[in-house]
Amino acid sequence: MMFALMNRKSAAILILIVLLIAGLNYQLIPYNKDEVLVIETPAEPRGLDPATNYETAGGNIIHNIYETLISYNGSSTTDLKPVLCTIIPTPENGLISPDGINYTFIIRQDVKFHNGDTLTAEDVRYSFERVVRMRQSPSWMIMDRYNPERKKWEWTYWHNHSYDDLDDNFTVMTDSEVDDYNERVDAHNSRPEVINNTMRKWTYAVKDWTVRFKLDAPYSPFLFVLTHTVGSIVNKRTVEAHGGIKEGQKNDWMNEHTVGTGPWKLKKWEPDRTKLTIERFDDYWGENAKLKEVIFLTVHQQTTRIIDLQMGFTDVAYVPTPSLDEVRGKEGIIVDEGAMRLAGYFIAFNCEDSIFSDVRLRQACTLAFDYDVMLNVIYNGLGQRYVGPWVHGMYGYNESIEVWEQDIAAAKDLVQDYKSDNPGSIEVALMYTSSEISSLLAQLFRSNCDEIGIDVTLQLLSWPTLLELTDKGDFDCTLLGWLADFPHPDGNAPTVMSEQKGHSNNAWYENQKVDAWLLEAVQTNNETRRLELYHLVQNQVKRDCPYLWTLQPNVPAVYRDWVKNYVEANNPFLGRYYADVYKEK
Amino acid sequence: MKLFEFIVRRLLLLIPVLIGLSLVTFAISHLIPANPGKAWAGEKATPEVIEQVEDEYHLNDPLHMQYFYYMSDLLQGDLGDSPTTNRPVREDIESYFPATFELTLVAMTIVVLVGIPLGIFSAVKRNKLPDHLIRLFSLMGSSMPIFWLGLLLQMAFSFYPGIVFGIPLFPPKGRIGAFVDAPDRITGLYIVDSVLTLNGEALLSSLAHIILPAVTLSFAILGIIMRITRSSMLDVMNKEYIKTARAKGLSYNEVIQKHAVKNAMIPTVTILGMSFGGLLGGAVLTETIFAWPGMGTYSLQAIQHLDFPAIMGFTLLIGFVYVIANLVVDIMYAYLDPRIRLGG
Repeated sequence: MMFALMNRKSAAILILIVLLIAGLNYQLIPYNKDEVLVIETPAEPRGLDPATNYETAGGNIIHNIYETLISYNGSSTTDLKPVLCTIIPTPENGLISPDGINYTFIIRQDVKFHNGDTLTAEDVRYSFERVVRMRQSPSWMIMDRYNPERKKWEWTYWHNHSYDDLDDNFTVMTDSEVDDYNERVDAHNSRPEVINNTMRKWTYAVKDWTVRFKLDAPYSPFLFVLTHTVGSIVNKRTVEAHGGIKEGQKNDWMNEHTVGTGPWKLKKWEPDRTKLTIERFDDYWGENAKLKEVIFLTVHQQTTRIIDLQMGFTDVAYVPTPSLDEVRGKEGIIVDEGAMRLAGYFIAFNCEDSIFSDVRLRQACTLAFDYDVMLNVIYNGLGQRYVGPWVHGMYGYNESIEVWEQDIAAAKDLVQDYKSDNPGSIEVALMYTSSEISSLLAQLFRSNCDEIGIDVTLQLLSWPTLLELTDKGDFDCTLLGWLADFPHPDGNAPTVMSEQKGHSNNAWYENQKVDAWLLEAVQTNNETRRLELYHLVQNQVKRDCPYLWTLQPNVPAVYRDWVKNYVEANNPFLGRYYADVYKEK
Repeated sequence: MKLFEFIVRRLLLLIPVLIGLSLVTFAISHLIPANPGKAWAGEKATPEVIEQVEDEYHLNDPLHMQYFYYMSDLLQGDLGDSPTTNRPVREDIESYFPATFELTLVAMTIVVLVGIPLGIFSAVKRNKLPDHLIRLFSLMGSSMPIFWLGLLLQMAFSFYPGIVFGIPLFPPKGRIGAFVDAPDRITGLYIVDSVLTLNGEALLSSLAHIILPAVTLSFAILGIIMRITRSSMLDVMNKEYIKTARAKGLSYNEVIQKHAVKNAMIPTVTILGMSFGGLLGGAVLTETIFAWPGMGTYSLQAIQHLDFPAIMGFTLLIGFVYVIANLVVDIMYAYLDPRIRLGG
C-alpha cells in the first residue's frame, strides 16, 4: 500500500530513533572548542577580493587575512604603524618628498604569503595596479582625486607617463613594459578626455625592496587611504595564475579565494555562504594568532543568535543596540557598550529643490529634534552626538564644537518667520529604509516636527529606490548613514561638496566657501592651517544645517565571558583583529 | 504510450509557461522606480564605476532589449551574475536549492507519515474523542503562525533543555554543526551525501539539525492534509461500494485499507503536490528562524537588493518546479484511480 498506516509500534520506533539521533549528536560531536572562536553575524561576506569588496562583513575578514603597507596602532585612528613596510614615510625621514608628491615605502623582507611565496616590492606595485585597472567599487579611494586645475573631483585613470624625473637610483620598468602599459590604457580607454586632462596620475618605481608612489599633486590623506583594505597586498604570481587583471572586471577566483600575508588564512568558505572558517597561519612574520581557528556563521535571526550565545554554541553574537536588554545581566555573557565607530547617522535635507532649500526650515527641524530621546531611548545611550561632516576619532574633528540642542521655542519662531513669507501649511516627506532604528528615528522626527507645525509623511522604501530618488534630488528629506572609508576628513568631504550633488552630497548642499576650504585643506602641507580649514568647514556646515546629525553610534560587543581581549582587539575603523583574541574557560 | 505522450505534452507546455512567467516577472521587477546600479556598486562608488555596473547589467538599455539579452543568455544556460553574491545565479541556485529540497522532502515525509494516518483515523473515529483531538490539532497547525511555532520549538527542544539539563535536545539552527564539515557534494543533500560518502559524523549532525525546521515546516500543511483526508474519507465511507464490501463480509479495517483510503487520496494528493511545489520555492520564515540556507533566504535577499538576475532565476526555478509538481500529481491520479485517463 502506498501510504503506510502508522501503528503505535511504528510511531514509537520512529520517536526513539529521533531521540537517539538527538542524544548522540551532542554526545559525539563537540559544540564548543577552546582553540576555536565562533562568531554569529546577520550578514555574510559578499566576496573576499580586496580590490572588489566594499562591505563590512567581508571587509572585516579581509582585514585579518590580508595586510596593508601601513595600519593603525591598537585602537587609534590617527596613530599609524608600519606593517608591510618597515617605517612610516614622513617628511622628516625623507621618505615623503618636501613637495609632498613622492612617497617611498621600504618593504619588509622575509614576509611569506599563505602559499609560501615571499613578498616582493613587485607584489606591492601589482596590488595597486589591479585596483586601478579593475575599477571596482572601492577603487575611488585610490584614484578619485582632486584636479587642482579644474577644482573638481575627477576620475583618474592610472597612466604610466614617464619616469624622466625620477631619482636615478631607482630601477624602473623597461621601455617595453612601459609601452605595454600605455597600449593597454589606450586600447581600453573610451574617454579620451580623461587622457588629455591633466589629472592626477601615479607612477610607480620599483627597486628591490622599495616602492615609490609619485603623485601629481600633494594629497595629505594619502597615508590614511592606504590603511583601507583596498590597499591590501596580494600575491602577483597567484593572481596571474588565476585570471590576472582584466580591465574593468572582477576576478571571480579572487572573490572566493585568498592569497594574503596576514596571521590568518582562509580554510573554507561553504558554497551556501553560511560558514566561513579562517585558520592560523603558522609562518606569519609577526606574532602568531593565539587561537587555531575562527568560524563566522551567518545567522539572520536575532533570537537564534541570542539563544546560541546563552547556550554556548557561539562565543560571540551580533546583538543590535535596541535588543541589548535581552542579554544584559545574563549569566556568562558580557555586553561591552563602549566601542566607538567611525560612522554617523543623519537626516539629509534637500537643500536645492524642496521646501528645505530655505535654511530656516532646516534649522527649525534641527532645533525641534529631541536628541535626548534619540540617544537614551532609541540608542540605549550607546553613542555620542556629533557635528558633521566629520565624526569623533577622525583626524580634523573639532572636539570643542557644540552640538545643537533641542529648543522648541526657537524652532517655532523660525517656522513662523518662514510662514510670514510663505503662508500655508508645511508638508514634507521623510524617506527611510526598514530597520528597527530607522523606523524609530523616523517616528521621532515626525513627532517633533508636528510639534512645531511641520507635517511629516513617512515613506518606507527599499534601499535602491531611496538611493535613486536621493540621487535625482526627488525628495524632501531622507534618513541615511555614512561609514568612514578612511579616518580622514577627505573621505567624508564629498557629503558637502557642490560637485558631489546627486552623488555623495545627499543634501544637494552648495557652499563655495566650503568647497574652497576643502580644496585648500587637501593640498596644504601646513598641518595647522589644514586643521583650521576642517574646523571652518564644520562650523559653516553646522550653521547651514544641510544635515540633521543624529548620532555617532557605538558598536556593542556581546560575547561569552571565556573570550578574552575581545574588546581590546578592536579598532574603530578597521574592526576586530582576531589574532589578539583568545579563550580561557 | 498514452502516459508517455501525456508527459511529453506537459513538458512541452513548460516552455510557454516559463516564457510567460519570465515576461511578467521581468516587467514587474523593473517597474519599481529604482536603478539598482548604485546600490550594487556601492553608495560611494564613482559615477564611472556605477556606469560600468550599469553597462555590465544593461540597466540603461530599453526594457525590451534588457529582456532580449536576458533570454539570449538563458537559452545558453546562463542565468546571469548576482551582484549581491558576486556569483553566477546558477551557482547560487545550485548551493541553495538542495537545502530547500532536502528540508521540504523531510517535511513532506512527516506530513505523509503523520497527517494522512491521523486524517484517516479521525474519519474512522468520527465524533469520538480522538476525532475531536485530531481536529483541534489540525486547527492549531493551520492557524499557528509558523514563525511563532518555530521559535516555540527552538525554546522547548533546544533552549530550555540546555538551561535545565545543560545540553539541548535538538540544535537550534543550521544545516550541520559548526565543527562538522559538510559531506563531499554528490547531490547537495547532506543526508544523502553523508550516506553515500559513509560520513557518519555528517550524517548524525545533519539528521539532528533537520528535525526542528522540518517539523515546523510540516505543521501548517499537516493541519490541511489531516482535514482534507478526513473529509475525503468521510465522503468515501458513505459510498455504496463501501457498504457493499462490508455486506460481503470484509472486516472494517480491510474495507478502510483496501477500498476507502485509495479512493479518498485524490484530493489529498493534489494538496500534497501543490504544497510540495510551493515549499520548494523556499519557506522564508522557517529558513530565517533556523538559519537554513535555502531558496527562501536567497529570494528574500534578492528582493531586498533588487537583484534582478537572482529574482529572475529563482522565479523561473519556482515556475519549473510547480509545473513538474503538477505533472507528478496528475500521473499519480492515474495510479490512484484507473478510471482517470491521462489526456482525456
